[in-house]
Parts: sequence; C-alpha cells; structure tokens
Amino acid sequence: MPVWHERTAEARERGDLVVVGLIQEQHPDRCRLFLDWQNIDWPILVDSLNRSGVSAVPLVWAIDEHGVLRHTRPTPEWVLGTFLETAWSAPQGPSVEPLSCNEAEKHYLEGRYTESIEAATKHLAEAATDASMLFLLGCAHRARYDAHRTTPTHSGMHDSDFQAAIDAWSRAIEAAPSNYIYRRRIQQYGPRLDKPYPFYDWIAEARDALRKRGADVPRLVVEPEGSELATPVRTHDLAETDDREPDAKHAIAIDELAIAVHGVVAPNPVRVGSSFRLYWKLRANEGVKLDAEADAPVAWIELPNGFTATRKKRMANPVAPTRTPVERTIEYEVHVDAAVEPGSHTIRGYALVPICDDATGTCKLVRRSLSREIVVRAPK
Amino acid sequence: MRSTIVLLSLAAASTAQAPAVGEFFPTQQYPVMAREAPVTHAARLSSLAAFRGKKVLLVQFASW
Repeated sequence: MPVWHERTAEARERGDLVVVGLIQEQHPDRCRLFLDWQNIDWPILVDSLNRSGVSAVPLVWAIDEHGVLRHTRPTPEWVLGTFLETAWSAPQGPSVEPLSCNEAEKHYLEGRYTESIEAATKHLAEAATDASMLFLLGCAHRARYDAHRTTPTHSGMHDSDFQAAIDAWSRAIEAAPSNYIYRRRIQQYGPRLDKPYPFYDWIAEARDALRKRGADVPRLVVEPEGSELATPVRTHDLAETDDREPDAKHAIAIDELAIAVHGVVAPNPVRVGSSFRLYWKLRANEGVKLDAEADAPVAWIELPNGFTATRKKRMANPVAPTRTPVERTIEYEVHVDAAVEPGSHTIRGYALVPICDDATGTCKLVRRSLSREIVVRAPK
Repeated sequence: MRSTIVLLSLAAASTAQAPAVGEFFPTQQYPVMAREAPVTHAARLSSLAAFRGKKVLLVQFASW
C-alpha cells in the first residue's frame, strides 16, 4: 500500500485519480492505525464480511470515470500512463444495480449481531455449506463476543461466541478451501505452525512511530494478543526450561465461583497429526475483580496421551498498561500425535488467579479448575 | 503487508461476482472508515458509486 500511496501522490494531488482502500479485516480499527502510521489518507471502505467475494488480498482494480473496470492487476506505470491519459468511452447499456444486502448482512452492518446470527443460522439450515454465509456467521459471533468482552462486568452471556466464530470459520474453509480471506481468520487465532506470518507484530512499531511524530495514536477496540502477535514456527518445539507445576502441593485455596472460565479451541475440530491453539478466557464474576496490581494469572494443564504442548505452565498474555483488565487470556499451542485415536479427549488443569473482593477490598490468589473437551477427527 | 497469490472467487450467494475488464464494477455499499470517530460496523455506508466521474484505483488489502 505505501508504494501505491507514494506513486499516486501527484495524480491524487492534481485530482486526476482517487485511490480508495477496501479493507478485509474483522477489526478495521487496526487498519486505521496502520494507515495513520503510513500517512495514508485515502477514503477507506470496510469489507469485514467479504461481500466483495474475493479469495485473497491484496488486489488492485483500475475503474474508469464511468465505473467500468479497466484493469485487474495494473502496474503503477500503467495507471499513471494509459489509465490516466485515456478518455475512456462510456459503455452501452445500463449500469449494474448494486447488490442489496441479505438479511444477515443488513443486521451485521447496523451492529445487530444477535439478529445477524439468527438470520445466518436460519439461512444455513437450508444451505449448510454456503461458505460466504458461514464466514458471515463467524464474523457476527466474533463481533458480538468483542462487543460483550469490552464491557466491565461479566454476565456469562456470549462467552461461547469466540468458539462459535472459530467453528463457523472452520466450516467456511471446509466449504471453500481455496479462500484465503476465510483461512486468515483461523490462522489469526490458530496455531503458530499454521501461520504464514505474525499478523499484528507491526502495531508496537506503528505506535512508537506515531508517538515520536507527536501524532494521535488511535485506540484499538480489541488489543491483539497471543496468537495474533506470535511468530510462526515450522516445527513443534518441545524444549522448555522452566515448566514446574505452580501449585503442586495444593497450597492455594480453591475457588470455583470467583472466576468464569471459557476454553476455546482453534481450529475446531482438531485433526489427528495437527496442532491447535487452546485459549483459557478468564473473567471475574460479580463481586470480584481481576487484580491488576498482582502478577499475571498462570495456568497448568495435564494433557491426554499423545497430546504435547511446548509447555504445561503458561502465564496470561500481557495487557495494555492503560487498561483495566476485565478479561485475561492464557494460550497454549498443543500438538496431537498421529497415533491419537479420533474421538473426545479432555484437557484438564487449573489457573492461579489474583483477585480482589469488591466489598472488602481484600486481594488474594485463588485456584480455579480448568477443563476442555477436545474433539479429534481423523486426518482429511 | 504481505503479497499473496491473487485468486478471485466464484460468485457466492450474497457476495459480488468478480467483474471482467470492460464490465461495470460492483457498487455495493460498505461501512466508511471515519477518521474522527471510533470504527464500528454500524458506521455510515457508502460505495464506489460516490466516486463516479473520477478515475478510481481500488486497493483491497488488510493490515496483517
């Protein structure tokens, strides 16, 4: 994008050309940070649902003054030469009518995610392998999850939306395996072994650069963490230096009520011989808060035979210092050996979570059990 | 920003058909990313039709 911005600067300045961005992200505010960092001030349209129907990005389209496509993969030289110098003739016949939104899209675009989920689910009852609708269903679940998780109190509603998003996107990929827009959503939250690149590793650099320029740094609705920042790996590395169980002697008091736990698996279902990402999402129930002053929560897991993790002890992802943590996430990368029998397996463990009581102000460390069923299927 | 193989999908039920050179480009509406306000999915909608009369370079991308 920066290349197009630089190469078209004079033409845009003269008013000969308009460059429009169409972005394909679940969280468009991250793209705004990127654009601010790169000093790109194009008008931007947001296509989180992939209504444009493409299978990969980046794509560049040259569209003439009549709205007619003139090139699908133009070079800067062609744009600045032939495209701008040609007075394109108006085509015969009527212009195409814009595609109207289906019901699920309409609800989504107006921020009614529950209604969007209902409409998509109804449609999928009749057309279970409609990949674009499965993708939309995943987007709506994730959007509702994000809208809910940024609220300060935990009601327990919509905790399952993250998993539901992963499930819907996984089904979308099964229905349309060559669509890389769908695949990227799973890779964003999936195992490092399947990632092509870190996704959002540029954010820290972008913020630093904006601060140094004295520019405003856009606040992100949802901070990327864990898998969204992790560097890809090509082998499942079992090397671990400090993997001691944090509460082997059961010294920490058990409290199953203070903290709500939700386990998420990506992708889902898991295949024999593959890796997956396991998330433990921790939220304080009513009457307590996660203790922002104490050490981060830590988890310990026991794996079924044939399952391996780079470590069994993991600390929660860091949170932005300016934010009150309403949710903490602990992530694992788990590999399923080729000898594992397909079927249901359970990962168990516990989390040690520092909390503070709202009424008394007392802070303490509590032990909360963890359990997540993993459905493993035979390789494709 | 990474380069990716360019593949155009076949038309899906509720998405645009990839146009061919010489055809009108689809003009469905999308939320506008407003620089002065938080980005939400319930933002104002617009389309490429708003730029009719100008030569447009449409760049589809993601920040990942």
